[in-house]
Amino acid sequence: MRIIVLIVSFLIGLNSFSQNKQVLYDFAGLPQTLLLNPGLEIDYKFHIGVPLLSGFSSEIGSTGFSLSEIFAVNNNTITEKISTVLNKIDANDYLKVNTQIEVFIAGFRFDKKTYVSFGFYQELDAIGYAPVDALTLINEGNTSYLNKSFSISEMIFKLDVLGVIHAGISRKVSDKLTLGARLKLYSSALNLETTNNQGSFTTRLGNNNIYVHHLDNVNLNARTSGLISNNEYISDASTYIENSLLGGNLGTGIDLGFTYHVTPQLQLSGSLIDLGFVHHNKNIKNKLIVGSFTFEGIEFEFDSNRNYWGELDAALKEQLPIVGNEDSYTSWRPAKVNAAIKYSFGEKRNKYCYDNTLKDFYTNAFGAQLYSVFRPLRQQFVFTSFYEKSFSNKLQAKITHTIDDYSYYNIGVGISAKIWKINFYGILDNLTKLSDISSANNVSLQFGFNLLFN
Amino acid sequence: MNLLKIYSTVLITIFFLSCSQPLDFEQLEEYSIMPSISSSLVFFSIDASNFNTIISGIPVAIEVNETTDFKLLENSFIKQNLVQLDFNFEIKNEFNRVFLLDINLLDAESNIIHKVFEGFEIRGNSLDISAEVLLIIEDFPEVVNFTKVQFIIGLKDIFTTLDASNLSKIECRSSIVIHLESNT
Repeated sequence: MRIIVLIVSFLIGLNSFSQNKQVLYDFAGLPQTLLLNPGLEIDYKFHIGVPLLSGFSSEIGSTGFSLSEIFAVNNNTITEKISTVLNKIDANDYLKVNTQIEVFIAGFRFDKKTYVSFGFYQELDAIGYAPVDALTLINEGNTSYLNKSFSISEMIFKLDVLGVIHAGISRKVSDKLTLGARLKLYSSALNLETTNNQGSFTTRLGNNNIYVHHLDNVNLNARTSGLISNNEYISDASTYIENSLLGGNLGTGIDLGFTYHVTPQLQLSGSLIDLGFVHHNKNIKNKLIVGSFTFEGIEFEFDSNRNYWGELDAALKEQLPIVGNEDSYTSWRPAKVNAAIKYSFGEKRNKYCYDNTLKDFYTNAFGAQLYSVFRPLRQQFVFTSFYEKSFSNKLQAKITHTIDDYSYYNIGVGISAKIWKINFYGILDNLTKLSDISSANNVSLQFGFNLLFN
Repeated sequence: MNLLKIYSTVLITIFFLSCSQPLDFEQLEEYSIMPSISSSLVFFSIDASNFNTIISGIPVAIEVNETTDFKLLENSFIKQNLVQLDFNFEIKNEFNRVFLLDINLLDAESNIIHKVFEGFEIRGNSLDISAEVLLIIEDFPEVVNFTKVQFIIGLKDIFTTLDASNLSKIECRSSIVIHLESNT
């Protein structure tokens, strides 16, 4: 239990380096925005991201509690604080980790209407829901919980470590509409998942004996790929890196997006990201437990010479067998949806585009964005309103207010600046929590360097 | 350029000046889980035929004896973190006779390492006998090695046999509560 608390705390402690991509979405024409919507408009001739520094993003968040609720120095004991947290969280609370490191990204203008971009990034994506009943059982046992059904279905966990090679195209099909698509090739280095579990454990007062214990309709599965090879855990980090470079379990996916100008000042955009899957067929180890079992104690038949414990063990293995296999399986990527409306206003300026023409733009914009990601238990939604300001052709800023599972008052800010051909962007999220990061469920930082050529 | 400097400075300053209230991660050393796990143990129902046998044509009262493995304590986590065991018994005696009950905890070699009950009297015509035995491991450290439970039950007055046609029964139900405390 203490190890679980430590791991959870460690991950939440990383919040200070997490990010919110809602600030990045459609911000300042950055190349990284193409990974959020391949249909966004790009005005430059070509771009190259600084290798390993063009885009680092990490989003780590927990719902239900924050670090300070457990580790703050006050009059409550650690046991009381953890107990309070356990009583507060429910099975919908989760811990989520998503980190992407852009190894490289580049793009070039294919023709007047078409921009092609491509690259490679590595991603770690994990989500685990709070198995409240299991934690209660571990923490307190079943003695105080007669007749309570401890749910097994709350055990939901998924982790992916993979490399993604991608190539996309953004094409202006009319003055008003730009469409885009990106093809992705996934190479999974590691996948661990347990989802769609069922069953319960209940202790009741019995008839034949004091208690009767029921394990009802258990269907518990755990699938792994890339973790075990030849019955040994893969402990060499280089193997995981190699497997993320087309050496692992492969899959494919697609991003789709569009931008539509309703009027010169009103813009709609939307995208569907990571619609894809990975087919796991190498280094697989799965476990499956299916069945039901009832135990009401050992019934003595005196002087029978029976092996009661052996019979019990055999019955358990027969009725609730643990089966291991190496069957291949398919794991779906967590698909994301972005939608945005943006209204530009204020002073009208112009900037040089790739073809040496001048393009008009407004110095101010505000709007709203909706982001949603499909997760194992349910779809998660994030709503963001924003204001964007262009101080000059080379300096833009964006301020956002985000409502998500973590808070209703997440204020974020981003700036993008260009000096000569070098673009720098930085994004900081959850500003209101900077005075006490430990009490935040989510705090973000994001940055990157690009070379942009008109 | 001035604006860029200002914004970069503000952004970096904000981030590096961000702070956190004092957190004490060493508190975790003091955290321990204390689960209490209740489990059914043994139950039985026996009648007059269990206690009588014929030796040289003469009915003789005997005691009955049964042992079962109970290997939960072989689990190293349970063994290392066990702090208390509670044994609970519910007994119903329909006979108009007094019985004696011994309950022993045995090790893997079937040696008695602790007597939970020794000559516990089961009164006649008692339909609602209950008993609880609490073993604090600190006081009885040998108990962590128990892997078998033995029940011995017999008539207190061994010179008067039970009427074989008597339909009365003795019923016994039992459970165990395993109290753990772990800070690992």
